[in-house]
Amino acid sequence: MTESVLEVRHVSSYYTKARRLSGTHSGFGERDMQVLRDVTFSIQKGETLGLVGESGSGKTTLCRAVLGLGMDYEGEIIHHTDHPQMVFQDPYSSLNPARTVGWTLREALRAGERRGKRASRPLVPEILGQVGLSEEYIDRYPYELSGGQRQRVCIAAAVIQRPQLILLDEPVSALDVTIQAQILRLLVRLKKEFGLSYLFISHDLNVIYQICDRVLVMKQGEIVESGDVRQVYEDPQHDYTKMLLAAVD
Amino acid sequence: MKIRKNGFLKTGEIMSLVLATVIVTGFFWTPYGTTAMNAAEKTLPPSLHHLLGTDNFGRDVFSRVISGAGTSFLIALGVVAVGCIGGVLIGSLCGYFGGIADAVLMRVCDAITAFPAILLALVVVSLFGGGMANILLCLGLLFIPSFARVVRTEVARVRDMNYIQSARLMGVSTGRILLRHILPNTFPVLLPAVTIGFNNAVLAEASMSFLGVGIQPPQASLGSMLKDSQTYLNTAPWYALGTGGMIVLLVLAVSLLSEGIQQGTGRGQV
Ligand SMILES: Nc1ncnc2c1ncn2[C@@H]1O[C@H](COP(=O)(O)OP(=O)(O)O)[C@@H](O)[C@H]1O
Ligand SMILES: [Mg+2]
Repeated sequence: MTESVLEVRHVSSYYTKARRLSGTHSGFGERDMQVLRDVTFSIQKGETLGLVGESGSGKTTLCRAVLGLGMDYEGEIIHHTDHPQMVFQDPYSSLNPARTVGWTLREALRAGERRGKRASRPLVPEILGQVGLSEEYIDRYPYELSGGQRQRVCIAAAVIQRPQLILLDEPVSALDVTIQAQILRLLVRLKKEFGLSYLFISHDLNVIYQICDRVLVMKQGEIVESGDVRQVYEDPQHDYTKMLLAAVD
Repeated sequence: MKIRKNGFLKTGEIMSLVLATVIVTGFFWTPYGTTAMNAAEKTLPPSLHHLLGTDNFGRDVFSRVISGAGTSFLIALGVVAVGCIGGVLIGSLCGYFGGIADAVLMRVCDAITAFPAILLALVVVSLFGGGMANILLCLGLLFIPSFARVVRTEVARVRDMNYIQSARLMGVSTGRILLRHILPNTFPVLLPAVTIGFNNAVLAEASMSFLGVGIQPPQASLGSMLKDSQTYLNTAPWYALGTGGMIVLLVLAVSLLSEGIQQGTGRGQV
């Protein structure tokens, strides 16, 4: 029996249009939009769970609910680890433009230490090496980095805190194909090295196939298919999964 | 934050440095006493002895311009400090937390900005009296809205950025997120606001003193001296020219700095 790092049970979530237009009488005829529909899954220790779905299917919303980033939900979300981290899709808004790479990493290290992760912490130059960046990047500002390099720094900032679970929200979608492959290899290596579990999000089943153990297929906020990634890839059951697969070829 | 060098910045830096040196020196030493009258040397034109000539009391204009600039400089500095600290405090809290307090405070700021600051200052100072401390406090408070507004806009923009979400996930405290993660992002808009505010403060103080509700004699500020010099425009035009010139130099130096900083921080860069 494996132990799970995260359990999500019957989670539903809504965006309220009225809330966004506060102060005006917009309640009439404007119903709340449901983004997550009865989502249930769990992530096992050491597992990479894929989450695939079209843009707008609710993948980012699920992350925000799981991490408590200002997203109300119904249902249960149970964390068996503390302080899971997240890597965002857009590498250009993921690093503080006013701060150097070194500052950002030291801040992440400090946050991890305050939670008592002092033992076996990787140091800033070491973690940079781990993500394939030389020490000279310590004094660089984000605008001096490419998208791929930024994403490496974001991954380093997440890993340096020694979390057990990292949510990767389309971490390679904004990158060139060759850079994508490099980042995917990096993620696989870091996972082994630091004993991580991933929730790996993509709209591209091909990418999911390369890195994940299991996969959830999400359509309009609902999990329509799930299972072993090879099985889903080779023998999709749901029409939506078949459509996603067709889009890959 | 990195500021790339450029022509405006360099000129502004040199001018500001020279002026600052002259002004700071003036706090401790001037070629002649600023109030020392000399009946034998009335309304002398500029010469090597008196760089900007003398006024109708035989006082050295250069010495008086330097010490007047010192007064103006101190007041402007204080006004900007009060306005900036107050504005950053209000602006960052409003921008970060939003809500009703934000809406109310921003309306109050709008209301204050709707009146010319100088007009409000005139009213307040004529009620409570002039003098350096009153002018400084009064102008400083009136300058808060302009700072609060730019800071609020930036903080509200940055608040929901991914890198701030990351900081929250790290478990960084709200205070530290505001101070160390968000505030540095407001510097590119805050620095020009500070320099523009400084210039406005120099001009506001000069205007008030010129109108006679600012700095009172025998203390001299550029504004009060400009008013005095008017009377002797025919007999000692160098008095007005020297004083007015100093105001122009002060404002120009800081404007160049401001322009240089704005160009050097590369607005619009990701
Ligand atoms: N802040 C928001 N307010 C209202 N609707 C939103 C908001 N953010 C996302 N949505 C809507 O929720 C749905 C799911 O969005 P998202 O979770 O970002 O999808 P994905 O990450 O899968 O592309 C979309 O239809 C989107 O338009
Ligand atoms: Mg998304």
